[in-house]
Amino acid sequence: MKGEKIPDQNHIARFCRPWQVHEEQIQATAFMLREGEEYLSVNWLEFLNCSNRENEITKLRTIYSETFTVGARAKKGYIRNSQVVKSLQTQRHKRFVSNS
Amino acid sequence: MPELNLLEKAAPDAIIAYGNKSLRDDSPVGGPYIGAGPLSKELQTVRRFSYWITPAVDEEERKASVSDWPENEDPFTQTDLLNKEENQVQDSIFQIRKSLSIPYHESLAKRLLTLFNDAKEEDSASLGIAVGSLRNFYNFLKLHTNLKCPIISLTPDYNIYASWRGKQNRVFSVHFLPNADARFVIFKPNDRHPERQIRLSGIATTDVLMETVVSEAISDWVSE
Repeated sequence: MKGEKIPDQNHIARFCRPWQVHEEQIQATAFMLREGEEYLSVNWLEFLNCSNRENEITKLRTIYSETFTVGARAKKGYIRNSQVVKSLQTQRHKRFVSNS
Repeated sequence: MPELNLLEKAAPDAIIAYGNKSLRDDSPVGGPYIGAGPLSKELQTVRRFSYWITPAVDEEERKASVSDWPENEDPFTQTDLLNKEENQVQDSIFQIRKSLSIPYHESLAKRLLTLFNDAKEEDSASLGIAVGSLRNFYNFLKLHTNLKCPIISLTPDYNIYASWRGKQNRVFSVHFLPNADARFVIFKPNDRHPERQIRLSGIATTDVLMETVVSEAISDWVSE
């Protein structure tokens, strides 16, 4: 679903490549737009409607393995939506959507 | 790139492969060239064409190669261009590795190689690292050998993104573009409003980048 406003207290996830991670720390490059992207593509965890975070992660793994070539060292970044909005507003990205 | 030698001597039993059939060219070496008038002996050449599938007019998918040329040096294929760029990336990493003027040259080269291999492992058709960006980064480091070793990652376009971090959430990050430009961002504390942060960003060529940000007093925490 696209264009829906995600509540600040909800959480989003973004698939991160190993070259966007340094010593287990996800770098700013993981949140840059990929070629052809008009907006930052994330997954809205609460939208998955699972009973707990562990199930959400399991479901996400399935989504990612179907969507991306997932290498052994790929990472998922989880973050509270309000933090991302605050951070990205400084980079002038103003559209936040979920692709789940 | 090897050039086609038009003065090469013609062989009488030249074979032309056309589609999935081979046709023997039995025309006399010194004889007239059918449909094109006489051609001097010196200008005839042995060329063997092979096609992936039967060629037809406007068939875009067909592949033709001249057998006398080493195939991996054909400049007109995407794969060869990619291979050349990959070699240039590896050469640049090697240059960094042996640059004694950069104090952390070994660890930096190792990190770059890891990033390159990671990117290639997940997508073998990718650049790994954009060679223009890597050269831009290397030129920057050669100008500023007193900098601390940055945290390196790659942007979605495989450009180098270097970050220096200091106390009180200080950040100096540089996105090295392939065209000698660099985008930078600086986060630093706001002494008058400790709960807030000052954020500055801009773009400059890498040769004047440090001069451009000198007033932000970052050198005391990004330098050794």
